[in-house]
Amino acid sequence: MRSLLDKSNPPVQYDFIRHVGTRTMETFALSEPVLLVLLSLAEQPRHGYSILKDVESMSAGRVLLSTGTLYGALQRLLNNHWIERVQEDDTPRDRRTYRLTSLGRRNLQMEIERMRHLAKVAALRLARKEA
Amino acid sequence: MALTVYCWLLWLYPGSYRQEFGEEMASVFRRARSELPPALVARISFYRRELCGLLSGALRAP
Repeated sequence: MRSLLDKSNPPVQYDFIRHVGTRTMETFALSEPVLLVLLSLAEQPRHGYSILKDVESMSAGRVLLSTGTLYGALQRLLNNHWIERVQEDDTPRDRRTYRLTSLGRRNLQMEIERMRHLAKVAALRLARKEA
Repeated sequence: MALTVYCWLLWLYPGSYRQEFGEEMASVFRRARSELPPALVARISFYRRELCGLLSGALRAP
């Protein structure tokens, strides 16, 4: 996987979440680790280690989350009801599974829409500059 | 040894946070560590990332 990486785009090691944003989760631009965690859970429910590996895979090895960053993000998302724990009686405490709530999915879609709009504006601006 | 240090560092977090996520975090750390490549650089990078992540996480934890 590493060989696929562009050398000019080295891995980002998220020791902590860099962009906290404004007051509530609904109003701020999500940090990249939080966005990737949400995208990982958008596909299917996952436990912590699976999220960690999926984020690494989705970003082609560019984003490497630490456990501190991952669980900080999970805790915040749980508190804001964007994600929830899957209730399974036989799941050991250290392998709990998380999934996106309908609120989380809706907000993620809004965030993706916001990014799509931003990318469109950016492309237009760059094209205008080049013309 | 590394896991012992990791568990000690978890004591920097508030009790409620530790109770909710501590066991899970230690389990994920143990699994990630067991799958590390043998290269020294990768190992140092992993421990550095985990240390900084734990310290900054403890500062941010409610």
